[in-house]
Amino acid sequence: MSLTGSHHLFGGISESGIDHFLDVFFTARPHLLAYGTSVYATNQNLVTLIDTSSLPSFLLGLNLLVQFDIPHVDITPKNSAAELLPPGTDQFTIYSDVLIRFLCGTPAQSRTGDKGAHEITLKLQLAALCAPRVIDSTPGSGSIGLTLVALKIVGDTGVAIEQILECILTALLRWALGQVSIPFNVFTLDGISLTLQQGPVAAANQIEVFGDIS
Amino acid sequence: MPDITLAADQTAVTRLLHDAETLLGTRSASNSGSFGPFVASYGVSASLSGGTVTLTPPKTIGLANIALNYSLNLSFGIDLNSFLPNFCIPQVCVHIPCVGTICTPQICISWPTISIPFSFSDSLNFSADFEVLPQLSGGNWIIDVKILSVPALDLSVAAAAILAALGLAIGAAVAWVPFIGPLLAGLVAAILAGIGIAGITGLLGPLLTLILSGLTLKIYEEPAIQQVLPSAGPHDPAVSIDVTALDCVVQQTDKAELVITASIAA
Repeated sequence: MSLTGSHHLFGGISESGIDHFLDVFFTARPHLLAYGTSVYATNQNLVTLIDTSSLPSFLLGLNLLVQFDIPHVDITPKNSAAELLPPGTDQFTIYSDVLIRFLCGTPAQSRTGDKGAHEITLKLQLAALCAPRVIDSTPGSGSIGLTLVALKIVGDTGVAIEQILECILTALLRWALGQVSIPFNVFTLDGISLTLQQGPVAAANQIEVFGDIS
Repeated sequence: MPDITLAADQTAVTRLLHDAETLLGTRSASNSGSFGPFVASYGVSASLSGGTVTLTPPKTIGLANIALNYSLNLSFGIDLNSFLPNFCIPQVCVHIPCVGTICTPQICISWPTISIPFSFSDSLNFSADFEVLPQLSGGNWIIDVKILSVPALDLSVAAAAILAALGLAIGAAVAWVPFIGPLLAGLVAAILAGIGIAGITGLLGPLLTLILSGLTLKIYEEPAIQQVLPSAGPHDPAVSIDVTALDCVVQQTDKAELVITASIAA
């Protein structure tokens, strides 16, 4: 079976290719995977600031950092039905770990070793069902993005707490993945101008696009 | 499995090659040497256009009926004395009474050497096989397609056309010469006979062979490190990928395709 099918041009980025791209993307823009209050967001290139300045003063001592690892993808699992989130057509799974650090007490208290100020950490594994989408179909300069469809915490954390965490983490990771843009020129190695006619399709361990030279 | 796979069918490869022909522009070659009985300096400039693509595994692209559009320029001198008879206006003597005999001098016509500049443009078709050659050069990934061997060029039609045009050019170049009128047709015929089809092909053939020898069309050239996303704000710098390996082959399934595969660094 040909790669181009009924079209003239085919571009595919494999799981490893997407992993490498996500690695490059989030290494360049690490703040998209880290969200923290002022104590943690001292460098906004690394951590996106969660602004708590309008909160009542008695809450200002509470600080939070949510730090995702760079995700990796599994587009075609060996047994889809056995997955935590079974992927549907053109869906695939992104896995990541998340570290939540919660500083209970003010930094000053923390530095003085006050027993009332201490950091609580929680590390979780996440599986997120995603789908590729067209961000922009402009011939040659368009791009493909990722949409988070659903998220599950791997393992048992208690139903209510799990649902709360999944809700928060879904919002953060949906935003982070929404910033991922894979331009057509990655599919074409920047050498050919692609006019998208079909796709993106998640199949055969890769994300595929079909089209013609523009 | 490679990180990135890009496949182009024959239609897309045809487009790539035609773009590469345009990118190649005009190639030139020049020389000097014998041109029939003359010594000429000559040059040719040529460009390529068109051609029908056939993809053959593992690395061959056949291009049929490529138009080789060429312009031939040559310049040579003709010593008309070599072709035209010398003649003299004989001495005439007149006897004048009381004066004596007065004679005009004998006047012999010496024919000039004429410089013939000549230009001719035409196109001819040829077919050739090219090999796909991916390579990393100077920080850029390049995919060249290089001609495997210079094809035999059928120059007979072109040579006949050039010879006919050359006859007209010679006629125009010598028309100003006094007394040449009745001799013109014979002169042109004699010069063209001296050059002949063999003279034209002997000049044009090696020049076009020089043009086609090692002919390389570049269908891809991009930096190994490619910026794929521009800077998007103070906290979002540009994103670049580093292409660490690249290959290019022809695959035949239900359709022939040129398949480019690449690895990118994490």
